[in-house]
Amino acid sequence: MVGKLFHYTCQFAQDSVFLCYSGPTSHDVLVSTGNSLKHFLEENKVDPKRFYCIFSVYVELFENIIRYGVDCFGIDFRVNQSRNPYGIITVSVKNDQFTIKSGNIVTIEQSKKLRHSIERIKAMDPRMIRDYYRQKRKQESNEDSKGAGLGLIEIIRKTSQPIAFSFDYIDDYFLFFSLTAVI
Amino acid sequence: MKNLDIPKTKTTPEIHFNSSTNELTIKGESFPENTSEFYAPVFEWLEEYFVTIKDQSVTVNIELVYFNSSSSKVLMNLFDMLEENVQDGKQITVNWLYDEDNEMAVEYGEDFMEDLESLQINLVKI
Repeated sequence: MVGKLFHYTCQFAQDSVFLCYSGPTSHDVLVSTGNSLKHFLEENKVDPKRFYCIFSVYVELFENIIRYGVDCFGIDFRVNQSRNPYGIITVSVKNDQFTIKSGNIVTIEQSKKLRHSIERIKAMDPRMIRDYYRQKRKQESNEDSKGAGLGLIEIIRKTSQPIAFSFDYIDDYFLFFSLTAVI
Repeated sequence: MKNLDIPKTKTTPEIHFNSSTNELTIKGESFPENTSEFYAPVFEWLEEYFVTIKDQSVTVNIELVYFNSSSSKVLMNLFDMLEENVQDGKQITVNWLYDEDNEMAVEYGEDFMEDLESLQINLVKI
């Protein structure tokens, strides 16, 4: 295991990953790792225009894990009831481009909805996305929904490249969902 | 009526609502753990406040450097509530304060402006 940790660390260094969290997620973890991210951005004098774009994508991705992730390290699988869903999130920087990757476990059922929403937003141009955001916000503010839809649009509004995503097979019930956002 | 004063935290803005100067201020960052729970007292205070005032002009200053998507929904609810009061004859002006380095803050301010018909929102550079 110790040898493997060295291997992981080397791998992260190679990929220019300066922040990685893997484990049970919660709002507390979001706040503390989010603060580390902010410090890094401040110390590296990141353009103020991009500072909150990067932070915002980090928050939305992390919140999505907290809201929709599944705790697969527990004895039983408790969808959406799990207090601390498992998630992994990394932030890297290369040639002044920040890449945030997030991964978490979802049910097959969730993956269908998720794929549909992401593909729908990915097909839109910036103006359509902006209008869709406003429409969705009006809708959801009346419904008091958990609002992953809005979070995803928020992420897309702040990225400089189309987001990439994938679902990896775990077993007949669960998939590993990963998303990559570049700012 | 008692003023509403909520100090800022790492994830929530400072909120000051002064019923004698008719100035309401929300300033800071907003990504609370439970957004509707955090903003509930704000809506309760406003509901009571709008019953007590008549033709005073009310100024709402919003200076949020960062807010997450669920806070964005709450802001929409807040502006909808203010707009209803404008339609009832109340005089309300919203100042959306932004740092010119923060492009998204301007864009979000413009989005709110477009979504509201009778509520006046001024975009104010800090």
